[in-house]
Amino acid sequence: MKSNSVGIVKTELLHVPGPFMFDNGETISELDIAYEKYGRLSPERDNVILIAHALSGDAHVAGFHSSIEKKPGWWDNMIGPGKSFDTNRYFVICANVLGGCRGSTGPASINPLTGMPYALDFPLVTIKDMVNAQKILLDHLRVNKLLSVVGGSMGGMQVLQWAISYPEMVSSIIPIASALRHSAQQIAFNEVGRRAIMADPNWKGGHYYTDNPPNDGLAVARMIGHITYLSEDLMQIKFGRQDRGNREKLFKPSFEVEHYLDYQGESFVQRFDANSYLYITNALDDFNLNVELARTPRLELFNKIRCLVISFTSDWLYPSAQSKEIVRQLRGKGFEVTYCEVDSNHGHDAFLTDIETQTALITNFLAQCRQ
Amino acid sequence: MTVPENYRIIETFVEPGSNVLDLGCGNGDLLAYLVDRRKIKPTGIEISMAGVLSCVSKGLMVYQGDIDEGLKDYSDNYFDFVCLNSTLEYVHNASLVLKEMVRVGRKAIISITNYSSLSGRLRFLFRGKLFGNQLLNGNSGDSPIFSIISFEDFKEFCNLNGYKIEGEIHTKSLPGFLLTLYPTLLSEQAIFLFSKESS
Repeated sequence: MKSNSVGIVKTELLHVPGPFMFDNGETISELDIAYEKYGRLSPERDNVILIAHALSGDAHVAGFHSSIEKKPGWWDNMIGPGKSFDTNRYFVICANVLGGCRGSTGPASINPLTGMPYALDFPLVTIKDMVNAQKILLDHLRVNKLLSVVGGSMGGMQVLQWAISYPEMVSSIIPIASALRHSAQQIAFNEVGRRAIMADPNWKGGHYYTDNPPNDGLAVARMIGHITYLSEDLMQIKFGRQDRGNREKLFKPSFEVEHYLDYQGESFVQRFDANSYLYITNALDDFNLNVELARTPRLELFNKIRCLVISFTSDWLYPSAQSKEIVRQLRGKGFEVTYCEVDSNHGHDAFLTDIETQTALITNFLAQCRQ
Repeated sequence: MTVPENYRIIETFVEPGSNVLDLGCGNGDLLAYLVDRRKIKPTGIEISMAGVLSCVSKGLMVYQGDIDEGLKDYSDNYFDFVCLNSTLEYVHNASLVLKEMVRVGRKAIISITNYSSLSGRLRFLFRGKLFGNQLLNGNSGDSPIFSIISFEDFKEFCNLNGYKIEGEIHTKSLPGFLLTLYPTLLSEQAIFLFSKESS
């Protein structure tokens, strides 16, 4: 293990026995929030950074769960001693989203009222609900000030929601490769993913928990996702027309890109719940901060919130134009906004892989925020 | 660090505490200087990542992008001052940018390198060489020059568009009295303060 790793970590669980009310008025009688935390909370409690994860992410953002675990947390290259989010200086928290399937309450959780999994009885989750659940966790940890809220993709949506819902708590925000709302194209890709799941005979209207889950449908949804996460350029460089030479076997994967997508699909179904995928992609498509911004007055509070908006040149799923719209809207409300378009050919995945420029930007940005 | 003379001149034009946009702000030195001296609220637009990184490390708000693109998002008179310092040459559509500066800023500040100086005129007269060779740009690694505008060109433009030139200060490389007599021949660079006539 490298010296810049946060080392062995564990996912903790906060159990909230009381009811949790969703934005649409529906409630669940109790709530679990899975989270990880790294670094030390300063005596002034002013060094907290909240990381918000994307569609398929979880609370395990850095370090290893055991000494034999091969893969570290999903943003390990950004979090640890001397990294962007330097755990020698900052106290970093990441929670699994509400509606997820990686420890926090979601459609696969047992409904205490019935003793059965919620399945589709789970209330429709919004980005705002995810943020409100995170707020409960922070209250529990007695954190009332966030030096920064950071996240890419769906994480960026939560970041933006944080600034509008709880501006008094937030000193700065870093939305990366994100959007104020999905475009028709983004909704369209999600819809194809959802239809793939629901068309799987194992889905059974969401009631598959005692039987075989709809793994084929979920794998297809994930494969579509992975196509949208890469740039055309990188896909060509990575796979081109490389072929394993078994094209005579009718319609079996032979091209490298086919094997890649198959692998991504197969490994995803091992760790993800199909109903969660439906709920979370629905939350993504439903999110529309423009509506909320239109009824939010220009607040004095906003003047003190610094924003670092980052996009990537080859990201066609969350294109730079959407980040520029974030800049325009936030600036209109009086936020202090800096915008950077990082040159990259990694597509949407760049926020996970293109670390060098992000590290330089974020390190300097956070240092200024803390002054 | 020695402060460039044009920074000092721009400082005299900028009111304390004002909202200042610097177009093509580079590494943010001018904005940082104005924050220090005039307590301005700084915003920069810069195309290079190196420049943007430097600005972020100085705590300046910066927008990475083209000048032409970056201005359209701002409403009329959004800024108190809009600066275009040592950047005019690299602007694709100088006329558009100048008009946008006057629109989004109550006042605009521009520094213009004197391409019609005596030495420039003599070089053209005797050697037939313009300032910089467009055909060689790109080989040298310098940014290509798009707009070569003389003091008189600029004044004519302001006159035709009804802009008021409220200040004109030349950087001094020669004794003051000579410069006063023949500014267009002898100065290296001039800084103009201009605005919509109505304001």
